[in-house]
Amino acid sequence: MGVTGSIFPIGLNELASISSLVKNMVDEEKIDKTVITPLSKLLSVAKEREAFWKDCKKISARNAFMMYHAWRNLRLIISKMITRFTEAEQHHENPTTANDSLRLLPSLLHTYTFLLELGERELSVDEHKRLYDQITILRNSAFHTGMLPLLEEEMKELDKKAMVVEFGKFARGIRFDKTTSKGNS
Amino acid sequence: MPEESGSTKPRLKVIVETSVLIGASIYIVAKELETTRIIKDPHYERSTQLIDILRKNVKRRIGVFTQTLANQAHYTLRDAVGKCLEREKCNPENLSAILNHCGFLLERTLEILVREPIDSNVKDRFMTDVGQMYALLLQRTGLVTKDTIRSMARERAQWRVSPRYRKYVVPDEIRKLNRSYLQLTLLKENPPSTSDCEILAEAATLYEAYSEEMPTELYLASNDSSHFSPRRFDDGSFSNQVTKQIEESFNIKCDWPENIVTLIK
Repeated sequence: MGVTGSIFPIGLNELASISSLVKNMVDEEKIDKTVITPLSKLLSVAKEREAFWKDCKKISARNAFMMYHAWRNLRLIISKMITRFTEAEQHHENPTTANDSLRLLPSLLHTYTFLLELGERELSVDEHKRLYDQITILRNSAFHTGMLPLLEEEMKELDKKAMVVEFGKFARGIRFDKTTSKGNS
Repeated sequence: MPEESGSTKPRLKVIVETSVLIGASIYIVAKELETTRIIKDPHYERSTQLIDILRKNVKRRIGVFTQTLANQAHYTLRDAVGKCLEREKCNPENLSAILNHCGFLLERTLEILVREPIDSNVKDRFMTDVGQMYALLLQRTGLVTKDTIRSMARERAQWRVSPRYRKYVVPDEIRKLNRSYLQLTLLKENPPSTSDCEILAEAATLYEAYSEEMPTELYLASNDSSHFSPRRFDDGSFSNQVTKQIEESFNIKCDWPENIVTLIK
């Protein structure tokens, strides 16, 4: 499904609905679980976009990856939000979850609308960087509001052995100084 | 809050350079991967040693960074992911998790450091000075040739032993001289990039700003011995032509993170 499909307006409607429900929850100091419905719809959008970008060959590999990375992070954070709302009463996080969500929503909205604006076209160098920066802002905001999945949670869906091998390749790609501070005596 | 205000001792500030920020961000432990393998940056231990002590002393606001350093560190992570995608054909899902994890560690490090603003006019002025300094150093590297080293070694050997034993002593003198000029050799092999010059120009800008407030001792913590930190050897000797020139020109003391730790304790 492309950007011109009906899925994006749905996503925006859901975000508006989530914002309004969360504001009410904060005002009334009470969790309203109906927020889970628009959040789940938004989650489906993020999942669909994530799958689209994972194997996308329409644009350069680096840019397709950054789009995939952004949607994946949105999906992870929205999933965590849903879990928090579902378990809010059980963990006595009423209305903390609503307050945390309210703090997270601006960066979530910003990331979503930025992705919408980028669509499916090639990114400029500046857009690539801005998108990465936006993901960093979103993840920092999610971390400080307890909406960021732990690495263990994120790893559940990955092949850990392959991850170790690829972490090694990634680490080897970063070398500032190939030798240590101590030379041979 | 100024560090050590009221004391006669100059206050201490440490600029945490990109290589240290990255060194402290590339690490994944067994617990997180359910395996005994630990993958880390070769400079992970020394980098985290410094970050940990800065974290413990966060109220003293010793550790600083600039937006350029943070951008360079994030760019390094992004670029490494790009290389993995293009050259190694790594799985995007794994790379996304790796980028999230390392980016997370980097952001937690940046949170305990003070982000200093940079006056771009002053920085531009220092960029010229930094460029000139490295150009002169690179010129000097042209003098460090096999022939000059050999003739210096012969001369030294003349003073050490009688002619009969010189042929045994000369190779040892050559080895010592090669080691003592190693930092210049490394600079020749790996000339400074614009971003290296930018780091130093920003450090010089900060030194000027700090010194206007109060006497300050400014260190640049770096794992890069080609452009900043001295090349140290196990026997205690070192090669520091570049490091020394930086200190003489800009009053910035470059060193490895583990050596700076001892100053903060």
